Amino acid sequence: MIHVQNLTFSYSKFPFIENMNFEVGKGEIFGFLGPSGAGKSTLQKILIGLLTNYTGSVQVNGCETKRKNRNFYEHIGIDFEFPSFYEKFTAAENLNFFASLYQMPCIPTKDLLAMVGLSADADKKVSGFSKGMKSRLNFVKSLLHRPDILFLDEPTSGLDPTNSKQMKEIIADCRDKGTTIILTTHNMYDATELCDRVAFIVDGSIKALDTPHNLMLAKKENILEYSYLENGVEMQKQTPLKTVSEDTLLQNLIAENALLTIHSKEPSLEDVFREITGRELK
Amino acid sequence: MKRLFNLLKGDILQQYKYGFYWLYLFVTLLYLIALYFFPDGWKTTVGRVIVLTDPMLFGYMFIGAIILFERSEKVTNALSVMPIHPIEYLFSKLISLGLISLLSSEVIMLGGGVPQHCFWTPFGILAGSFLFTMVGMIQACRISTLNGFIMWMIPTMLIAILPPILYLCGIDGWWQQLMPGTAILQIISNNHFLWLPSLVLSVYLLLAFWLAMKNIKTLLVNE
Ligand SMILES: Nc1ncnc2c1ncn2[C@@H]1O[C@H](COP(=O)(O)OP(=O)(O)OP(=O)(O)O)[C@@H](O)[C@H]1O
Ligand SMILES: [Mg+2]
Repeated sequence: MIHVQNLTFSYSKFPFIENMNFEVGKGEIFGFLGPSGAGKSTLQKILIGLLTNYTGSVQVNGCETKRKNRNFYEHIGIDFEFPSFYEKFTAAENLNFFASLYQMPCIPTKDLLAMVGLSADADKKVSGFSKGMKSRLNFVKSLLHRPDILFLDEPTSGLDPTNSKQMKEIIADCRDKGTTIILTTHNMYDATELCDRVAFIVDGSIKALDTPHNLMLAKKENILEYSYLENGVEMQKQTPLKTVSEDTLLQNLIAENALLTIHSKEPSLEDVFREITGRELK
Repeated sequence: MKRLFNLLKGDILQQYKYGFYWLYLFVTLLYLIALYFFPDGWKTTVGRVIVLTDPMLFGYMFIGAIILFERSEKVTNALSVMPIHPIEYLFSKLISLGLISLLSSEVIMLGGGVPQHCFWTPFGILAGSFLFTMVGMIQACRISTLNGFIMWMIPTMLIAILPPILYLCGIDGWWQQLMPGTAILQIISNNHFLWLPSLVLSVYLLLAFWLAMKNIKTLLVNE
């Protein structure tokens, strides 16, 4: 669905994105993970044809994005970071209007609103919507024409846990129906949960690219953490999982049934990110 | 074609929701009443000045407001990744504001007893509305605040209105013939084809069209 080869791009005379390569397959959720200013939005703008003065090749849905025509947008959907609506229109009027600009039949407005729990607000003006409501409306606006590729920029930011979960379910559902999804985020929980593969982006280049699972396994060793009482004081200890048989203290505690807590700790994607790139995600 | 029609529907709904049509109605009625009190000998001249200045320059002010609203609401961002073409965006705005301009002008002229030609007068009104809508559009694409737009408004109005007013007062220099306002005034006041005003107006329209398209392309991509 997406082929990027030797992509080089810069806003100024200093190089920014240099010789970037990656591919995204059909029905995959691919995450761009990186700190602020890393170039995630820039990369997204190149992929959706808004920045065209790059060199190298960027093929999206079989089309070199710098040579796209307006038809290109019949098949891709974009949820920008900031909501964009006619504030004086109601939610339904907004969706109906945007849907009317596509050639193919769109998902009915009332189904879209129901998907994100906005059915009761269909006839309210968007100017009166809260930030989270606008985010949800913006999200369904991006998928109303059943795009083949969906670009999501921080879709869950500003949402409460319930709505955030609901949105992630919709995203996974789209993937199951064959939609390719590019997810841009700083949120490593979302990335771990949703993405089939993630790319770590820092300073305009990809520092690592793999499934969240492989990234987490490959990098840091897993640790067993346990606690016990010693002279009435709670003590905590960590031991690498692969040498756990050498920990005699643990064995004694087990034999005496004296453990207070015990759990294995896998490194989070955030830990891995820090280790590979030397940078914090936020 | 279907997309242009739907864009137009959206624009009309938007203009309605912002109360533009009520404003048009109010101003049109106000002018009709004012015209009623002018002596018969004056009605034609005053009526033409009203038609020249008001409905057309309303298009100019409204398009300024519309573009600034759409930019602040980021609707232009949304449209930049939808399958609409810049020319459809432009035509939808021109048609919606042109038609309301024409309607309001016709009400003033028919209601106020101002004589007109059945083709050249509406033609001139529409061409004038298109021109000033595009001028407003170009300016609103380049500045970002309402105050900035108002700064542009004053010189624009003067350039648009002063030459035809002077012309009506009997001052008729060659330079006035090259101004868009005079060209429009002559077209709407005559009942036959005038080659010089038509040529002048065509040149302005083409220039404005070229600049408007350039600015819309930037507007629909770069923000
Ligand atoms: N239009 C522009 N002109 C010049 N420089 C820009 C422009 N847009 C972005 N930049 C620069 O490019 C770099 C990458 O910005 P970008 O918006 O792609 O980051 P990001 O990874 O999306 O960050 P965030 O997580 O904050 O959204 C930044 O240094 C930014 O200042
Ligand atoms: Mg960004």
